[in-house]
Amino acid sequence: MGPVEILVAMGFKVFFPENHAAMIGAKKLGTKFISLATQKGYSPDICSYLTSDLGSLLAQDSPLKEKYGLLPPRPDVLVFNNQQCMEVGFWFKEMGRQFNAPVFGISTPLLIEEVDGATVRFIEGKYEELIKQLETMPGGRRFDIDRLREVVSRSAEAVGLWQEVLGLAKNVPSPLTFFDATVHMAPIVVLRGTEEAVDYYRTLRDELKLKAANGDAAVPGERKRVYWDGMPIWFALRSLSEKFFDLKIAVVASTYCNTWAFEGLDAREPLKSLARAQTFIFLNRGDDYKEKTLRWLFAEFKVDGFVCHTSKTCRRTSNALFGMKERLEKSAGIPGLLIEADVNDERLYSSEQTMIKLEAFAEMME
Amino acid sequence: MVISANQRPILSSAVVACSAVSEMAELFAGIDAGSSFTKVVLIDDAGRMHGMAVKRSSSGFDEISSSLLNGLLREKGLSRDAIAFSVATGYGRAKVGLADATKTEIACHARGAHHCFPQTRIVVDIGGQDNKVILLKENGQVADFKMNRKCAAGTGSFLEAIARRLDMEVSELDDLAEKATKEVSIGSFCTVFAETEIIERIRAGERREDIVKGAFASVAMRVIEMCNLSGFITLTGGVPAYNKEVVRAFERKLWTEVHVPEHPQYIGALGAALFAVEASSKTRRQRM
Repeated sequence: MGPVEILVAMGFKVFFPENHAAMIGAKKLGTKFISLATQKGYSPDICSYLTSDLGSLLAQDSPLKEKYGLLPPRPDVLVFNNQQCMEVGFWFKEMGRQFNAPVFGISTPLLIEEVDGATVRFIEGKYEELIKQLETMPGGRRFDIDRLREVVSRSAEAVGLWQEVLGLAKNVPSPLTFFDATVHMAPIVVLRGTEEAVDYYRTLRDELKLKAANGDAAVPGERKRVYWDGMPIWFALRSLSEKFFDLKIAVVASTYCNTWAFEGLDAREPLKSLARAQTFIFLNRGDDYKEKTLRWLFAEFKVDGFVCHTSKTCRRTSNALFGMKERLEKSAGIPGLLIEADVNDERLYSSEQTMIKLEAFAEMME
Repeated sequence: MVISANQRPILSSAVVACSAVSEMAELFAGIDAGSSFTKVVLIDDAGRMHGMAVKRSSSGFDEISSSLLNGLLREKGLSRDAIAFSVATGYGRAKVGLADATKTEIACHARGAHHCFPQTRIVVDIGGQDNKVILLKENGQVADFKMNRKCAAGTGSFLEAIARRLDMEVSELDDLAEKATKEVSIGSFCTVFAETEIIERIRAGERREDIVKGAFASVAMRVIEMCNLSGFITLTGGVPAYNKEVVRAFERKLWTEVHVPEHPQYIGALGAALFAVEASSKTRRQRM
């Protein structure tokens, strides 16, 4: 999730194991790879991104192989930021052992209600440490602040366009849904800081603006609009999108896709603005902030209800685990639905039960 | 425990129950194609029951629901033409070819329970493979609902597993529990772990009667843990239909009376039939 801009500015080619894991889930290969990780002593109860990706590494197999004849590249260095979860540290350390590569981690304060100057300065300090660590790597890469300004400038432009894209879902009917966004979010994650990401989102924004102006609906006959809380269920994207489509419900907003709509990237203060933007993310915030933000999102996107995905192996993104669904139903006055599933482990998902719940939820909202 | 008759006349409590229908009366069918049992209910446009039937859902839902419906109609000397509208619900609802529409079992159990007890605000449905807690608005519409997690805890399947472990028929459990003098606590969420607990209890010298009473209490507790149950609570589904001990367990744990309609296993089908009446009436108004 960040700060990839520093790596790009220092000339690294960046590969994202989390996105590789999401790909494994979407290709329904999670169960196959997770079992290899559990054989190595990793619990099936931990992050199924981690166990999927690790299993893929142990198997020397990948969805990339099927499509491109490739495996994930061997890293020279591994960098993680725990502002999104703790598991990523264990994951990358295991990869460091497997590849005999150094691992550098950024520890961000968690559950932040208000992002203050001291926190931003602390994170900025962590980024400065990271830069020094990266400069010790073979290859003699040196950090250049002007280069970082260029990269942050491109990131800011792409992020702005991505925000516009997501914001077009405020239209009634919406020209895109959460399911579309889970596909279109790829460049903002893996190509952030590049011209390609800017071009992609400019094209996408223009096309969606046209659709919105014409009243083209992603869900023809859109009757209800909902918000999705939590991670996608990668292996069930198609079946869920079809179900919502059949029920004429448009999933118009999510904090998952919004996560990469970073606030306030500024090439004039690249490190500080990166530190602020990446600490500001929804995932890293306290419950009061989250609930206030969600109520605002519900109003902005004119939602009639919300769906909470509780991912068995991803507690950090499962806000309903901590009573938020009930609090939001009361404070926002709209119905919520709990779906229990997982990001990548199909064994933890009951399609039949989920579909019944969605139908009943649709009936409730009528 | 209150077992209340529907406020409509029911002429028989046999599995297939029929009443006379005037030649002009239209009938409406509700089919609850459950994972364990398929239930069919016939009502008239005033919501009066005219027949009900049940069979194990062993073969195709379409075949079983047709067979049950035809059997009920044959008893009355009627044909399918007498059915103005039918609605299917339950796990196999999409497979019931004779249905004009489908509704979720959540909506149907709410509707059926509210018809029997208009003052009910919580419906607890305990079926063969899942359980649901449905919260109602005053008008009987669903306000919220919760379903059990991905396991057999709190369902009929749990009781079947316990019966197997005790080398009994599940139909014998209720009578056995009546002879209990205490409740042996079974704490495990997981049915497999619960079976292991039972082995331990038997080794420790506990009586089967007391263990079975504990098993019924476990079913109640798994549901109670899902939701704050208070006020006028109605139990529906096959498990309360055949097991009075589960009803008593709820009352013990909740310190309150729990209400069971006269035919709790048919409440989903009744709700579906009531939706059929509404849908038929709406279709007619649209034609006018």
